[in-house]
Amino acid sequence: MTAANLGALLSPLAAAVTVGGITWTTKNRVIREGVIRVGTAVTVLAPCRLRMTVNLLKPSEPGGGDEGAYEPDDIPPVPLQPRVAPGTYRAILEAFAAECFIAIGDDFTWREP
Amino acid sequence: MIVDAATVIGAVLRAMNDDTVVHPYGDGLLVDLPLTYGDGDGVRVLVEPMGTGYRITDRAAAATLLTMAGVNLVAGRAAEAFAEIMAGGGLNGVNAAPGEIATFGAAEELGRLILDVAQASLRTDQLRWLAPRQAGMRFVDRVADRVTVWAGRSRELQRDAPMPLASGRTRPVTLRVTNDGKAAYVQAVSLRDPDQAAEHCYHVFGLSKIAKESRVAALDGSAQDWSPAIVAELRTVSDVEFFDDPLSLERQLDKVVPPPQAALRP
Repeated sequence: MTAANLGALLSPLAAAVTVGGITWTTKNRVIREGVIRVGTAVTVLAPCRLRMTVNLLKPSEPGGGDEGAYEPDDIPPVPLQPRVAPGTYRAILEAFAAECFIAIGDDFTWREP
Repeated sequence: MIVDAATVIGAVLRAMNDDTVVHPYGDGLLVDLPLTYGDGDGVRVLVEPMGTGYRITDRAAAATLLTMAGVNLVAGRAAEAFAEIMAGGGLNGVNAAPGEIATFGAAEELGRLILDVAQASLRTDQLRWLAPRQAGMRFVDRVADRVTVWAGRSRELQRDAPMPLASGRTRPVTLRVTNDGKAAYVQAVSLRDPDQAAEHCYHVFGLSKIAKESRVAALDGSAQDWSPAIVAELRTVSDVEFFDDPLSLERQLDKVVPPPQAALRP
């Protein structure tokens, strides 16, 4: 994928919308990975997904995937603490989605990790 | 220019001193060290008072990076290497969660302990080179996507769903599909480590108490990719479908969990 392709995919051109709710799975027992499917107007593209990783031992430092394709710059700051307030991860996810022009679908349901 | 010991040692200590930053965190302190993981993230360890000494942990930071890189630290070569790193580093792993690099020691040892944990965490991070070169999409995700498309809105899906065993225990399988009191359990069997994946599938399905036709082993690739003996073994405990067949998985699921009757009408 070229930078121009990626730029188009992360722009309003892609008409990206989330499909269904967030699904959390446990990796390596302390790591929770949330995945949301994303549909786009690009029909040849395999189903896309938003991925969020939360290490329960460092809850105030959530991460994205390892794709490294895109660095967010408008994510709400989280105070460095052993606990995070409910709603924090949802706010981060929605800010990230908005930055990438991914609309939240009508059937979206949120679950805390 | 003359190199003397005091100058060099002083330079090292100055660099450490100038680039080490701490942040209050719960009962302890987070220590940012002038060291970085392979992806450029800084090494940050947590120091907490415990009894008469301190507990130092990387809070599974390296394990998280590995998980994101697609390396499984629970089994195989990476798990062996991780155990070796912990033992070789003299870390006692007090109260450590899986993947967490932690140690406990006396206050006089604190500096050494922090460096030991940081070093072990950095070594663990390098296991990222065990990740497949093109990780691509994992087989479990491909199975989940395909079944999600098949299920539409009329059938319920659960990832990592608990499957009841004859013993009364439950074990997670890749997916459960339910509708109207009927359920199918799908286990994705990847080609990445085929023997281990097949054995795991055989084990959980063999112990299951649900009807055999409701257990579906979804094997990556086609029949040619698998040893006929392994496939025959799996068929003794479950239905077997190959992912390269464009319809067979859906057909079997339709048999076990039919769509609601209304959906069949035009």
